[in-house]
Amino acid sequence: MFHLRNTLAAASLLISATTSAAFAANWPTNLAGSGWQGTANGSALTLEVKTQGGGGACASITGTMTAGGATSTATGYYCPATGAVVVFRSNNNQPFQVFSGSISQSPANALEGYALSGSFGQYYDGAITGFYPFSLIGSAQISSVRY
Amino acid sequence: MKKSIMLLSAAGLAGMLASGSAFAQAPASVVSATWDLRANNAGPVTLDIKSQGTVGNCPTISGTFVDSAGTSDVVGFYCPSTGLISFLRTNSKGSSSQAYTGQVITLSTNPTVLEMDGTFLAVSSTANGAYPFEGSNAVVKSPG
Repeated sequence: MFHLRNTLAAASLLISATTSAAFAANWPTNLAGSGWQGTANGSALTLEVKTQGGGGACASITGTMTAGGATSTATGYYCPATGAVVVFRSNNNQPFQVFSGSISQSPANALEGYALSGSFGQYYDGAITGFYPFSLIGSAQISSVRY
Repeated sequence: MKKSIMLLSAAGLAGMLASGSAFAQAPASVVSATWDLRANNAGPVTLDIKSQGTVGNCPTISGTFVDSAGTSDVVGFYCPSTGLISFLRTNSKGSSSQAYTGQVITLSTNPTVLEMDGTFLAVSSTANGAYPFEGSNAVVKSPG
């Protein structure tokens, strides 16, 4: 009985420690200057966030998105308090995809290795309109993003 | 006898749960006379979906969106198999700064009425964020 009690206590402590470790850190405060690379519906995608500021509790961000050799404008917002990210991908000022996702928490406030994943809506071309997944990994600097 | 009654009661309860609100039907078309919506608890917003395509699992939709700021064009898609709807609201400058995503269902209490609820993402110079929207239409046009 004594052993069982000790085992249960140890297991409880382990679960508690694991839970704390996964959620102990905060989200990064600023994405300006960061680069992100990964895939959107299985195809290579790069996001560069060049500016962040204004817009209220969820700060406005601007930058570019590159896929298949074509670069588009990226505008949206980032919420430092929750890690939520929204990006409208546009050509000629008209969005055709909207990305909505979350950034992971990490112990260090450097963007290297942060994860950004979620889904994006495709709003043109009737054969492929719908929602699709995306997943990106952050780099500390835009210049470190490999194309 | 008592055991049989208990078993029947359990089966009845399971049946009630299975036929609850989670199983409302999605309509084949969202083209309607008028959708009356409230966005971020503000309204009235009138959404008129004028066309729905036939290509793909989630065909394109287009129409207009009218609120106190004026009339905007909308373009997006609707997935009849799931009831998922999503559209962009295009502002007067030809750009879009709001993306709406929600579910469309047929009211079980009145099959002629459709309900649309969801969230819209707003990119704004002062109030970026995700906000709720909800509404319904009164009369549904024939699909196509």
